Amino acid sequence: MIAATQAGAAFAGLDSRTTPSKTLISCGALGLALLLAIVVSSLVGSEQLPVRAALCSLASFGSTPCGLTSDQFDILFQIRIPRILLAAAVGASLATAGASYQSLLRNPLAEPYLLGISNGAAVGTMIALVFFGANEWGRPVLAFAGALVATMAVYRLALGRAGATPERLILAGVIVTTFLSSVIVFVTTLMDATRIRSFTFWLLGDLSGTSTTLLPISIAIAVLGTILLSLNARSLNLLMLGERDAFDLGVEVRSVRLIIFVVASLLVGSSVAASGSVGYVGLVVPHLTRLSLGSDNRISIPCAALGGGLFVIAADTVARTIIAPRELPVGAITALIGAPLFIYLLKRA
Amino acid sequence: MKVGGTFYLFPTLHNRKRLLLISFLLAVCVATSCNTNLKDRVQEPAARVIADDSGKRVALPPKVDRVVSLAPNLTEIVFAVGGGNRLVGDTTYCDFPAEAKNIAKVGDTLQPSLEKIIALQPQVVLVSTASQLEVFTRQLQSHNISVFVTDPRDLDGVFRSIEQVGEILGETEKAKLVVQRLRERSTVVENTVKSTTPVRVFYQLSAEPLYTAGHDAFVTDLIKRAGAISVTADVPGAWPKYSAESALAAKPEAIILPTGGSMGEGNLTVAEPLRKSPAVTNNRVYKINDDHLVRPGPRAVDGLEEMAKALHPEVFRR
Amino acid sequence: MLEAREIQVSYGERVAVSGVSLTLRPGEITAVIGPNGAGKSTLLQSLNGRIRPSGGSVLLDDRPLDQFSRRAIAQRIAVVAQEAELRFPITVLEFVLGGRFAWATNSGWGWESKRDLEIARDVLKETELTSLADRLMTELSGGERQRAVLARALATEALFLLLDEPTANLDLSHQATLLSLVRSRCDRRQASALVITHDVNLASQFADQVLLMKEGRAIRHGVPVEVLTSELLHEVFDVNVLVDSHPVSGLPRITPVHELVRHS
Repeated sequence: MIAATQAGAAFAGLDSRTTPSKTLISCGALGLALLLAIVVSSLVGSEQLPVRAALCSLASFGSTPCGLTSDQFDILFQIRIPRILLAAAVGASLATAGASYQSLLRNPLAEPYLLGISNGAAVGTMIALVFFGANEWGRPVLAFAGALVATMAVYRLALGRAGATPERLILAGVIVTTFLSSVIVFVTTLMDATRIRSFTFWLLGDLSGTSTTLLPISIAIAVLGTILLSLNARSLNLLMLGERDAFDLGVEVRSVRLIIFVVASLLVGSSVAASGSVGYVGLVVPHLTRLSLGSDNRISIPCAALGGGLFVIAADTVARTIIAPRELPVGAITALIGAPLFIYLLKRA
Repeated sequence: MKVGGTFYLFPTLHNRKRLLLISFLLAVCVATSCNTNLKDRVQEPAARVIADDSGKRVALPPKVDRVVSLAPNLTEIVFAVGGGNRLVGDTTYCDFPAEAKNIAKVGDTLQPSLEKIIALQPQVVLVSTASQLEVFTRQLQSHNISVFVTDPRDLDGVFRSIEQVGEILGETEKAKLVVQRLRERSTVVENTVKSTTPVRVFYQLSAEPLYTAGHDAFVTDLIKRAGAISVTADVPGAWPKYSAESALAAKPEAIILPTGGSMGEGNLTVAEPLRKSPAVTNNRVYKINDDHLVRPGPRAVDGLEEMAKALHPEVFRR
Repeated sequence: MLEAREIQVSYGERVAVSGVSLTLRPGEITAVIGPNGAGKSTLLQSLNGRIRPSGGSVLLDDRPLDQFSRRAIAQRIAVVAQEAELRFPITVLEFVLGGRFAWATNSGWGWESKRDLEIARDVLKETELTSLADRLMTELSGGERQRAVLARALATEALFLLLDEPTANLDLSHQATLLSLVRSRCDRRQASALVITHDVNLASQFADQVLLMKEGRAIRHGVPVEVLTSELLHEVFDVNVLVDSHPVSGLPRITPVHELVRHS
């Protein structure tokens, strides 16, 4: 890990710090990679599309079919592209939320799932489905509410004499998340057999239910959230060294913490409402970003967003092609890739 | 102690010893036979052995008075062959016929309560392969409760299950009659649709996430007999989660929406990728009671008839 | 000037600091000594706003401290404390640049300016860490790390330095080096420093003023020779000490006298 950071440092140029140009180059490269991933992913699926026609049509942003049949056009622009864009939004949201939590709580293992936030959002979504089933807006709103409530619960639980130290927060997070997990399981057992099946699938992360009304919201939140978190990147850099030090050096710890909690809840809520719990993204992607680009949040948050998008697009492409025409939940793939990857990263550290 | 007249044949010197020995042996006999009676009270000599669908040869008493059913389709079959009054326990999902609701519940299909089953003291437990077999089969057998597994995969399998249950309950004649009638009805359907072109059908189990019937689903057989082809008939598994693209590309001519039975009021809308399919354009979306389509029991023939009539109205207009 | 007037800090029933007054004047180093639990750290934390006193007031440039924003305080007051555990890799330069946060034009984000880098390099030179600038903090020795923490505080250009046992884990040579750095900063820029220390002799050497505390109260405040007397030290620390004059510096030299009980 030290060698990698020094290699990363060497990349930065003569001095080791993160510069604006280094950030621009990294973000630019990742952004291009993301664009490429979107294009490549839209060319594969359970149905074959003629590559040249598909590329041509993509280049025209869907204005001309370029020889694709009406079905093929629909498959490309009404099924694949929205799903891929949702994957990118979900990946970006979860990765930046994870990166922020890890910096704020000074714990590389902090992750929306572990802190109970994913489950809070899941419970919120379940309530929305049961009581406001028809209304699509119910889901992200209640998911956000659920995530926020879970965050506040974790925070209150963790408050001790010395404030809510990172250790207590993680502990409280584990308590809340396991409690909410059992609530979810309990509610699931009360459901009838058919609902159980679809719910279990959703809980594991499922991007197949891409709603065209909510997709713009997911993208907007992902972009907005990443920007808001990046705007606090320098404060997070100091918070990473300890709340006391950050306070002494001029960081408004309380307000920054509140902003991070609220924005991260928004990000996690919108992801979970759209696609269930896609695990490991908030853990593995920020790790990889920090390893290769350094711990400076000014570069690792935007790059985690782009990297997260890449990761989930890749995972979802596998999920929907590997046993085509059947599908696997994307969360299963992210876990299959993420868990061994994480073990490897831990060993290198 | 006088035991018959033999006692007096023994010389008086050994009377007491003999007395002790015989009473001791007697006591042992009584004791052992008492023990045996406790264990084998329910077990009459195993007069019959019937092979079930898992390949096991199941020992059954000559007369079965108490049976528990662990699947809704088996409950329906038990009632159909006239064994309803001998059904002492069924699952929470068993709701047909109406009397089935009043039978003592032992839990659901996947996780029945062993305690409850044992407390009802059945002689046989009828099981469909949906349950967790291994764990409780052994437990039940140690209480001398036989476990009979049925695994109907298609309509012929249903007929076989009816006959098996009939044999178990000693209602072979009744069962034969039931099967005969059902067979007649299904043959009528199949003959009627023989002349038609098979309709390409999509069976939508749920819209979001999109689930359909695969190769191993029971309803796939019914669809075939109803004069249709399930576009997902070759997809491995019973209830695969299906890709939206493939659903769109399949362009089914008709869509079956199972709803209204155990599934409740859900599944009333066609999934998004199918909205532009010929089925929707030509208004060939049919809602059919899901219990008639997924329960491998007598009502499957109802389902067959309903599907066939919906898909080929022209040949059923009489 | 940074002034504490009759500071009172209580945690429920427990009184941590009671009626302490103190003034940090430009160019002066004030040492704060006392046994554990005397309230030294609490006092330090109320001087930079981390703790709100329940009584009394803290005035910075004659204005109450709570009128200043966090950032404004950080520009004027810097803290050097026991460094927290480093859980993420960070280089010395990045660490020291953290001190420039208070001067960032965009709150919360933005990049370091040329001036920030200049100041950082100057400070690294001052603390003799230039050759280690690109190394990770975790690769440094304890003494070097503590110098980096001081460097960061110096990078804030704050005129008030509050140091909480800065030499606690340092060996002899590093202890002296660190405090010399503080001394030279105070001399050159007319900064003032408050140093909490357990080492009374170090306090004697470097401090212009000494504040002796016990159980939250100020026992004595004045020049070293006034405060570091055997009677006062015995009263506060409950230890017999011999106080004489250091042969080289002439400043008070404190030697504890331990009674060794020999069993016959």
